[in-house]
Amino acid sequence: MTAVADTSTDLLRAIASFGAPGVPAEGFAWPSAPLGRAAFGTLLLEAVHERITGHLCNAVERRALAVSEAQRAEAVRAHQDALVVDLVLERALLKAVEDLERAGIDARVLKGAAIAHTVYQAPELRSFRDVDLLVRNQQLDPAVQVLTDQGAIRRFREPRPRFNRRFGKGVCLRTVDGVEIDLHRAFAAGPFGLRIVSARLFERACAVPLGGRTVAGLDPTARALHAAFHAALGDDPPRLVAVRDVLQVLDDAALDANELIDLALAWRCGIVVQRAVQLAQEVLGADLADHPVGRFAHQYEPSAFEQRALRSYIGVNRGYARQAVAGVGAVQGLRAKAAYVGALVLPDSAYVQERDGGYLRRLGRGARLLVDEWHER
Amino acid sequence: MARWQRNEQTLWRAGPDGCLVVLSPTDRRPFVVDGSGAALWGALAEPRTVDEVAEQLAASFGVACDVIVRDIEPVLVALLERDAVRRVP
Repeated sequence: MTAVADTSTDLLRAIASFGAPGVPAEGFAWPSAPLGRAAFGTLLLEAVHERITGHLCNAVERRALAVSEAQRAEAVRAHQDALVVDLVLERALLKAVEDLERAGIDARVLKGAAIAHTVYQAPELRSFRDVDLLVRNQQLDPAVQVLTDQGAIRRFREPRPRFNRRFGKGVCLRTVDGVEIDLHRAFAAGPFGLRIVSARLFERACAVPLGGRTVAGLDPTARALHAAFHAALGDDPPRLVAVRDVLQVLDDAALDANELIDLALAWRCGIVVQRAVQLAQEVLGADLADHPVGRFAHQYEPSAFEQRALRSYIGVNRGYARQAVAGVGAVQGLRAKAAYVGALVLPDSAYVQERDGGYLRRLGRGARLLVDEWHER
Repeated sequence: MARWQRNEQTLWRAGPDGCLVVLSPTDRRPFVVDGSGAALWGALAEPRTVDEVAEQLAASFGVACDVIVRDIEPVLVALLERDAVRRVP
């Protein structure tokens, strides 16, 4: 059935899916005349926010989206601005990787830059806003040290020393040039991140060509799983660029779909892949019925753990604290569970002051979350 | 005759409307080459003389070679000054 792209949301979705693998070309009916000035201004702002100015310019160039000359010039300027940011970020990424390499730290480039240079037809189509690098658990703290020695500032405290390298998603830093670098040890905070075996992500790599050299990115299986995490658990509602990524990684000729499914099952995150596929279908109109991962998503019955875990990432009550509470069930081993709970219940005083303003207020908030969690069970 | 080639360490994107966005290893900020910058950059993937580049672009755009040479020479000099391209023997 053809959806009429007559609202800003429909049109944004049409732009985000323009030329995407798995999306029928006749899926959206584009407006036959240029939008009014105000409507186009809104559309452009939203396209910038959703990081899809590349697809917007592509749709204009191929005459799918009717625009006036002035609107065309505005779209071009907006996309040029996005490309300028991409290049500044890529330079920061290369410098960070080189600094880490000199210190003997192995890193994998994640998300934006890695995806843009590997699974898109052209990197111009995939813009990004920060640098994401994955390091091994035991190298997270040394990696933070390397980057802070170069002037980067750590943005958030951790509950207790070494908490992040054991249980966290990673560490967020800001360089002296204002670039945000996210050093990850896992794909997500909370229960789904805690199930990931970091060492597996370093067993293989793919080459990401950048500035006359290659840097290491995730292998196609891990890359696809991470794209699913980003789309399904990142923002709610998800950014359109993250949902488009899902279609791009699933279309990757190097992807072994069965291996992706096995990995998701082993890490108890089949529901994450399922939600990512559902989003690609519902938001971008993709037809994945014949794709093995699409068939898996259609048939998969998630466990109670997965359903409970997913609720901490989506909806109005989503948040770090809720994910932390839901994560208790995902930590393996009694001693590890005790360390995890201990760090969250009684973290360092500086962390408590920054986050909650005091221990009593934190305990009250934690108790409310536990009661909510118990009620949901 | 000197030949021109991209500095392989230059970061770049082919932008909308045929423009090129480049960030050389020594520049602080990216800059935009409007018009047929992306086509020029495409021709510089291999070492080429100005005439060879002009011939390639003339065939693509249907413009006389001497007009192209006049257009691209200042752009190449600007790219060289920014270390985005190199002159090779």
